[in-house]
Amino acid sequence: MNIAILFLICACMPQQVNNYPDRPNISGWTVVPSLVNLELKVDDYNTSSLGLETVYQNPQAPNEFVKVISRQIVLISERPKEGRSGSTQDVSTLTNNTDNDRHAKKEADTLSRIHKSADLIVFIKWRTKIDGRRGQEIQDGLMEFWLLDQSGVWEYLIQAEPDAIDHVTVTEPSPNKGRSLIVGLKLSLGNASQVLRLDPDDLKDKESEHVK
Amino acid sequence: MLNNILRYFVIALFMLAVNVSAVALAKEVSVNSKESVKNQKVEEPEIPPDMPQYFLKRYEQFIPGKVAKPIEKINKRLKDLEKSKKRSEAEVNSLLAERQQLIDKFWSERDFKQIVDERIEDIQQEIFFQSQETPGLLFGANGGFRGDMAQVYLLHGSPGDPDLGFISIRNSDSTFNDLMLWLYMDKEGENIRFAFLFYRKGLGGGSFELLSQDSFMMDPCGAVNEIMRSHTYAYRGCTDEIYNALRQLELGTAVDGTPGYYYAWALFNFSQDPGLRQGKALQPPSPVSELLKRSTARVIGEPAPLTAEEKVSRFVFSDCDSCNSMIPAELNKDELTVSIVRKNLDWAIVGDEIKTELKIRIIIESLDDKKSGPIVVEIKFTHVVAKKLLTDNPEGKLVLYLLPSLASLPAGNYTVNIYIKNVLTNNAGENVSNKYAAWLENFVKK
Repeated sequence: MNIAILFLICACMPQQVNNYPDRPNISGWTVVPSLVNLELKVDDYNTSSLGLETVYQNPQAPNEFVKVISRQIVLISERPKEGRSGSTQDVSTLTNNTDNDRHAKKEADTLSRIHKSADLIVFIKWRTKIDGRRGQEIQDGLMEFWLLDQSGVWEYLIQAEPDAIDHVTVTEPSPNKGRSLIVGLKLSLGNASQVLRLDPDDLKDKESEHVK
Repeated sequence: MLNNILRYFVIALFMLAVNVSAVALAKEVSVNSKESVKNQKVEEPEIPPDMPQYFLKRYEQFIPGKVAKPIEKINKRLKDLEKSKKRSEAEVNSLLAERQQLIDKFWSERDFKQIVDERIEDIQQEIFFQSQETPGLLFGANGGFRGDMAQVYLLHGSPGDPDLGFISIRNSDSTFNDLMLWLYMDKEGENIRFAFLFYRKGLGGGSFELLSQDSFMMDPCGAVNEIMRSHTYAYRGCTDEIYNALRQLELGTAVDGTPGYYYAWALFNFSQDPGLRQGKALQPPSPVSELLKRSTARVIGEPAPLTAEEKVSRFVFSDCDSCNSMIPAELNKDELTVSIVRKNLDWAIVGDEIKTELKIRIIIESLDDKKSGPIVVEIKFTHVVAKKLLTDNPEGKLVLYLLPSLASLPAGNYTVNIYIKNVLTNNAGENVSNKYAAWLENFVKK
């Protein structure tokens, strides 16, 4: 099959504009301490960090919440392989940090820098109320969903059910014949979608670095 | 109560003895120093001070052989020169400078001098002596600065700092001599990182010595025999006496409440990390730079940092709302084309032109014929245009035709997985962008 790539410079086209409600303005909202790193465990040692899930609470209306998913430049973190060379793990308590500790710190520092310049791609807004009968906190009214499509256009949906956004695993054929490698996650809302994924070549590059 | 009084009386007596011997030692040093003036000899103190001539002795535990050797050579040469009548001051100065250089290099590669000096100070101050957990415990009475206890303390500090591990002393009974356990936990406080078991040898007591668990790994009964009061060199393997003694150790409790099974465990085990041996934990710690070289750990993906000047003069970065990690781009599923607004890409400035480099990966799989296998195409695509074009028409689009010859693809249902990553690099060949666009879509080829 002849597959090639051509390119063309064309005149500008008008950007698609939807008349959806504005995304919630969460500035000044408090972060509910439940940060979730959207991670992909490649294997026992490699973890890929694709994004971050954060829940915000409106301090003016404490029953109002917004979950935000952001995507970032993808990081691949390879933890130290203890025992590979027999001495990668330093046992000294003097250096005050082991190979694992140093790596964890490096990973946290890099992630913190990367998170500062992440793109917000999903907003999910809901309210809660106390169920008079059971005394439990339950959803109050409809949930609103915004998802930024890969094209840069926002999609919006409002519904009662909390599962409007589909999650699908993205795979690629693995170098090991017959197997597939999970490379990411696809989030969809209606016709809009975002794929958060790693570059499998980065895993190869790491291998070649070790050979050096 | 009586026991405590007796214990403190013994400690007081011991301290008196230590003080008397300290006075005696002081006198000896004083006499020696007078003599040394005569004989041009200098006596070395027990804990060597932080001076270049004492470097090897003060930091012995931390200096690997390959570092020590050249310094030993210099020290020997300096000693020879001291005795020699024809010594050259220039040579002495040069050797002193060379030694200082080696010492400076040693510390520049290690960031723990301050901690070591503090630990040496702790040993000098006998910090355990008045501690509630270890009353009366002295480094001086247990081999001094070169004893096993000091060696472990110098390398690993106190087990109770941070407050996860502990020191426990099990007083002697009819079966065992005094035992002392230094238990270091891992940072989470869940697993035993190191267990150093000290014991007083034989019937006479004496100073605490470190039990080498490594030596008894294959001979557990030998370990029990080693710490028994009735320790015998004619030991002939496991006997009922040894089994009973071990059981007694397991079931007993130290005065401080530490269950005996900790001691029994530490007889044969050094760490809950199976790869960790006592011998390794007593080796000089490697410099961090060496550990980093050996480390297999990596965090990759972060774009290389650029100076403010580089950012402006060498690159043009997209500045749209969602362009931090994303290349906003539109996929036309019918034609398999991807359109990217020019200003939404990162570019490198090359004279009057700008250049972008994209890695494009396309995987097409037939949904009808699973056996046919995926088609994988990967292309590195460099696109150069006049810089003016970006300034004059930033909204202009770059359209990538991913499948110009759709005709050759049999009709049917397909899944297409497209990945476009900006792989723009700086002069050092490091990635400066790493932004990407990706799709996973089904399409029908008619």
